[in-house]
Amino acid sequence: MSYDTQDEEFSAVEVTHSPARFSGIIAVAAALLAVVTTALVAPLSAPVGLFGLAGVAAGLFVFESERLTTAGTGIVFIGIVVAGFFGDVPEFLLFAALATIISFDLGSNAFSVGRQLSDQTDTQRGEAVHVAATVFVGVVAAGLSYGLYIVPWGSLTVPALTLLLLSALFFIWSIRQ
Amino acid sequence: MDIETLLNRVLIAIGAILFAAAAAMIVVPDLSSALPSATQGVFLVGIIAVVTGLGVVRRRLRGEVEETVTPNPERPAGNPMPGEDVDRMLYEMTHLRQGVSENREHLEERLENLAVAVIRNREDCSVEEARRILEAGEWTDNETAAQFFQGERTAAEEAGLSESLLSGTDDVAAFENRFRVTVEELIEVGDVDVSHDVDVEETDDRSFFDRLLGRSADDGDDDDAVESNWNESNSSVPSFDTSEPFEDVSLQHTNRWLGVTAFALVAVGAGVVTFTPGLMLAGTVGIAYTIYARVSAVPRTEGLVVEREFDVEDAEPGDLVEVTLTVRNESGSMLPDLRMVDVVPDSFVVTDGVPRLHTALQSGAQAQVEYTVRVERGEYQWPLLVVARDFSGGVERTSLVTPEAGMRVVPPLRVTNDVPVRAQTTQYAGDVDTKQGGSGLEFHSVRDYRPGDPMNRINWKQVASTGELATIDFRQEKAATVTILFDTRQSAYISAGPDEPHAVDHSVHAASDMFGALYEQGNLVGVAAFDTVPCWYAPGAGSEHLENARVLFAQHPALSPRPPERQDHESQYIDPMTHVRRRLPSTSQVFLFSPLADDYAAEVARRLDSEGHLVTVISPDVTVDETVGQRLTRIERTARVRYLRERGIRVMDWDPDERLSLEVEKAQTRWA
Repeated sequence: MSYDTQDEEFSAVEVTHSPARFSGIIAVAAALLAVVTTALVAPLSAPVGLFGLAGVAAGLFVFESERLTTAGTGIVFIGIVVAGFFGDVPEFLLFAALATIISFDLGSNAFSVGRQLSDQTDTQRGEAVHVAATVFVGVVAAGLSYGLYIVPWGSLTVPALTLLLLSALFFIWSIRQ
Repeated sequence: MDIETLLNRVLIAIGAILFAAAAAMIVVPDLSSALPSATQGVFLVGIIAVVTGLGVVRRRLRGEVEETVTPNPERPAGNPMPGEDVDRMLYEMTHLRQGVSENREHLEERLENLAVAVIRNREDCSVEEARRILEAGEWTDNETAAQFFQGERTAAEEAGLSESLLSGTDDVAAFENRFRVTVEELIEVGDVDVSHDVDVEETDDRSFFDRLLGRSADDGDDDDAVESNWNESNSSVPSFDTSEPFEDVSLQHTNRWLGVTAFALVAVGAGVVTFTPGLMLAGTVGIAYTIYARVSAVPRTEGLVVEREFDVEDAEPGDLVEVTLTVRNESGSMLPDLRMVDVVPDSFVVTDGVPRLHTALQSGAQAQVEYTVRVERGEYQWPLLVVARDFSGGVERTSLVTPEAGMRVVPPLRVTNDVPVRAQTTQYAGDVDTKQGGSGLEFHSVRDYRPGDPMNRINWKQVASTGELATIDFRQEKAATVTILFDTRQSAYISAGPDEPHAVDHSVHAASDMFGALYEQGNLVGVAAFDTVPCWYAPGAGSEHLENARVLFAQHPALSPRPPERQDHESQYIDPMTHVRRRLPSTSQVFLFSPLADDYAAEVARRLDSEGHLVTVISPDVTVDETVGQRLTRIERTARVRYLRERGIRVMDWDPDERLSLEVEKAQTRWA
């Protein structure tokens, strides 16, 4: 009878599952970088990119909708393709594409961490390692392909290019299975 | 599966051949002259690439990322609130249009029985008489309420049934309205305590609003309400019951990189079509990530060493215990993405900190997380849910790691204050005053002297005045046999709110204190519960008995903080009281702990009473009065309490917000 629920009323901690902040901020920053870079290549593509950026940011921090964030990243990327039509600056386009894909990955990771853990959880270290891994892989890959791009290779004729592209397509198909 | 691998190999082979041909052409440019100039071909391939890329985008937008859904062990278990069944029936009828006639019949019958009980109690008459008053509509001035129980209305309605099928809405809404009015009228007539009045006039809006308020606990789709969940319900992990130190739950591809190929395909395709080398170059990053996503290593979580420490050794129910969880990676390789959720038992509530951690662990490194839980009786050993991913997050391995450290929470059986025990006793000496004369303290009677009476009980004053020997009898003090009986059927696991303890918790907490007090008063105390799991601990005495009782309170499945429905017991259609009745000593009095949530509980008390046991019912009142269903349940409970009291059964109507000791004192003065 001494058991008194009133004295011991400690309520449960609140648990919320919004996207992880750290990854989210970096995802938005990466998208912003991509938009700025494409705008430098072709200012005409800036509105498209900004529209996508708004989608990424709103999806992460306002509506908490993964679909919206993914769609936003896609639009940022369309901005890059549009910019490619107008101005062919390979370095900038490569960098923008890299930033977009990093934003794509971190955005989805932010949602995943938020769902599986929570806002109140200490997620800093886990997120940081993921960011580092993704950026590292991207930078190495971009560096490699840029290196291959600037080295003069015999003569890249149209038929050779076709075959190269076809082979890439087949590889991608096989990987996707 | 075989065809897929075969297809895969074919695709890779074709790709390799094409690649070799392209390489050959770059190195030896003359070769290309062998082929016709194929600008159109390049264009076509570019278009194919873009189209494939768009297809991938579509799949991404449609396809779900597959990942382990973790539980929310911080939150307390959600228990149904009293009256939820009624609200649900009304909701089904008015909003889903399901089971209209069955639900209606059930509700009508239930309300009628209640009305009869209320009238009988008020008019102090027989059941037949009450039924007559009810049917005549003499019990209330409210016409709608009076009509509810009058037969001719039903006949008229049956005639208009086909009509009402067409305009069904009004009919059901009208029924709901009448139901509501009648419940309010019964509150009025039965003089039941409710904290506020509901205006039944503006029914439609109000009722919907009411239901939304009241249905907070049971509706999953009601997001803004206080959510509560048992560990299992929302998680994709099927069961957390494991005795293995390490158990793999699943290993899956998360598909989280699905769609990254689209970046490559669209960029390269667009680059080819428009002859923009920059876009083709940009597309290569996408290809690189596609490969990165496929290169995966299964994280070696079996090398994780998990230790759990508690700052309190012998916790008692309600204590706050600080838990320190240490995770060390001894797998010999790095674990780059570890998501861990400590699956705290359902009956525990996390009050500070979060039992989760997201980290990466080098080989040999360790991480720690601290949190505080409010513990509940029982013996526990619980697993840590580990969701480990590789660097890219493409592969996810889910496992349960259970550290050895367990926790046993045993109620202390404290002695707090006296419990009024009734005068049904054993032959043993004790504390309870009986009606028999003999040796004792309190004066009982004076009787003729019989040879052998002790000298100190001879009434010397009488001897002096009359010269005749007389003996004084005192009231004999005997020990009683008390059986503490719990109502732990599914229906007793109800609570006044999603965050509140349920009635069984209230009962067991109160009873574990009461047990100590009864024992200290020298009574023989036993414990029983009526449930599908038989629980019986015969009344006894001695320190061993006390210790066994503590363990029983803590560990017996029938007294578990988890409702029977959630436990793995085969439910059987047997009278849950059978085993208790068979074993209950005929001289035992009974302390019945029950929220009186249904008629069965009251019936048990009545039957035990008629079998000659003195019954005291201690009933934690967990009813609330927001929705019509909750209000109805409150009247029903009040009617049950009155019914029992009418039969001379002691009922302690206990509001769990108050201390039971105060309630006991109040009751004692009332009964004295």
